[in-house]
Amino acid sequence: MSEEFEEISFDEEKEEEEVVETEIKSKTPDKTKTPAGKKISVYFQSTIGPSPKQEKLVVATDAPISDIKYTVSQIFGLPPDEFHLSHAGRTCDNDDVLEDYGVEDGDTVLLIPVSTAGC
Amino acid sequence: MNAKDTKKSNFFDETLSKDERIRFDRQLRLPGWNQKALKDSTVLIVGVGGLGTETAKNLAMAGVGTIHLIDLDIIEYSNLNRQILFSDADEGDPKAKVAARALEKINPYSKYIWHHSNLEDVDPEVYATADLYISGLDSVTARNELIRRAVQFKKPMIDGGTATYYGHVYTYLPGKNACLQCDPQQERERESLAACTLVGIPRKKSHCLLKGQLYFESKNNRPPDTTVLEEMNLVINYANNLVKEHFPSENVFSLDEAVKMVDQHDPTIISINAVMASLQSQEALKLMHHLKGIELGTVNPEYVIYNGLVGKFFYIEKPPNKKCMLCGKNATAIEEVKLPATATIDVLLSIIKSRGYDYDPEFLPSFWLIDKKDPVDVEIDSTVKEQGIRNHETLYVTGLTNKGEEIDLNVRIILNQG
Repeated sequence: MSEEFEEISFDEEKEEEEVVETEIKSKTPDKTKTPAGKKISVYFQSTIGPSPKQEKLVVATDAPISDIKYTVSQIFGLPPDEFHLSHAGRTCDNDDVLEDYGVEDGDTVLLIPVSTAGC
Repeated sequence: MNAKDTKKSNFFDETLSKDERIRFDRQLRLPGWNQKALKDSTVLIVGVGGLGTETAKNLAMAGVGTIHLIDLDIIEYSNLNRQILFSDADEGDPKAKVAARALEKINPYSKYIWHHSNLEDVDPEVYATADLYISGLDSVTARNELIRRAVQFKKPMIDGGTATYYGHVYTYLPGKNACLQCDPQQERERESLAACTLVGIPRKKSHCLLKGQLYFESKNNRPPDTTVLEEMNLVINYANNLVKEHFPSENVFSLDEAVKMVDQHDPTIISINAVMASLQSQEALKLMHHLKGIELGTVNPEYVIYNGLVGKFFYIEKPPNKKCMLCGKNATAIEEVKLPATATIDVLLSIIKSRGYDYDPEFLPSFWLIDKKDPVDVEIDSTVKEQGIRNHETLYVTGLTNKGEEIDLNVRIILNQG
């Protein structure tokens, strides 16, 4: 009986450790992690527009979000002020660069609507 | 049948009147449903527009006991394509008040309390005592104000928003998923009419149209009326001459483009508002059961996106950000302090000190009333009453140290009644 209890508490501890590993990083640039200028393949998937689609693009990790948004807007035919880029639950600010969001090779970045109206 | 059975019964629950039991009969038949949980709940609807009127209508019809309606806006004729509660009202009437009156007709068994004000002017006690908040707001700033109250009072907040044919719903569940500050949003930029940027040659195509507007204003001493064709033609002819001169490769403005840019309003349609508001309402109904300890499904902790152009939903996980300044590990702490209204603010100094916070006696800490629209610096030799401090009001304290480190603190005032 007591063995079972120990096992349960061990599992819970393990789960907590995993949560710590997936901790979200601050939006403050943390330039030490990914080598700047490294080229990676990223899937861009739109949630908006008349035909949501996915495109694989090669991007530099030190590319500004505003530049990426402009390129993506041309490819998807959507005005850049109508969407945000979103990665792992975090919305990308124009002034940041891609590596600030820990985007890695093969990751998916979503185009999400700027739905702040409530009217 | 004994009393214990009637307590568990929806159909013979004596806290509901016979009329209510008949009115709600079809939903009393829902598996897992508890009408009393709704009747005993208090919901705050902040923003009574396209989303807020729909959620208010849904929750009132379902029998939620107390609904607070907060909106500082007045009714315009152009609201009537989507805001059902205002059909019988006059232009210029306060939205919150008219909504409350309309809901009384829809379901007279609930209480509707309206606040024709911004959300900061609503008594903090309302935020402290409501079960959950529902936001149908139209700005990032107002959402940030509401989420601070949600986090600090540990209340769930069901946020909704729309943009053309798209919308989102996101339920903040305290301690479970991200708050809105974990992933801060930027306020959307609008093309502003700042005259200083318009001197000389237009640098953007949109400047041409703004110059057209200024031309009209200089002739008529008022802005153009976008519903009058002749006035819009004056603006657009002036603007398009500039476009042809300075942006020859671009198309000139069409009449409809010009109307939308001169009279800027978010485009919006009832169907999208109704979808998002229904999702908000359904999450709210489940939450009202959960908060009373009654199982009924689960609340979706994800950020839900609806694309009405293709009829598809998308879901984004939102884990909490441990470094969030509002809900993370380093968030400013909250100390509750009970005070009579006659106490002077400086008694807080010794109370804070007794709780482990220190300060330099030569540079006393500053106290700020942050629940007001514009934060107010509090004079510490005045009384709680003189400063207009309300029950559950938060004072933000700067200039403190804790174990040698500079630290800020939230002090929540609980007024000693009587």
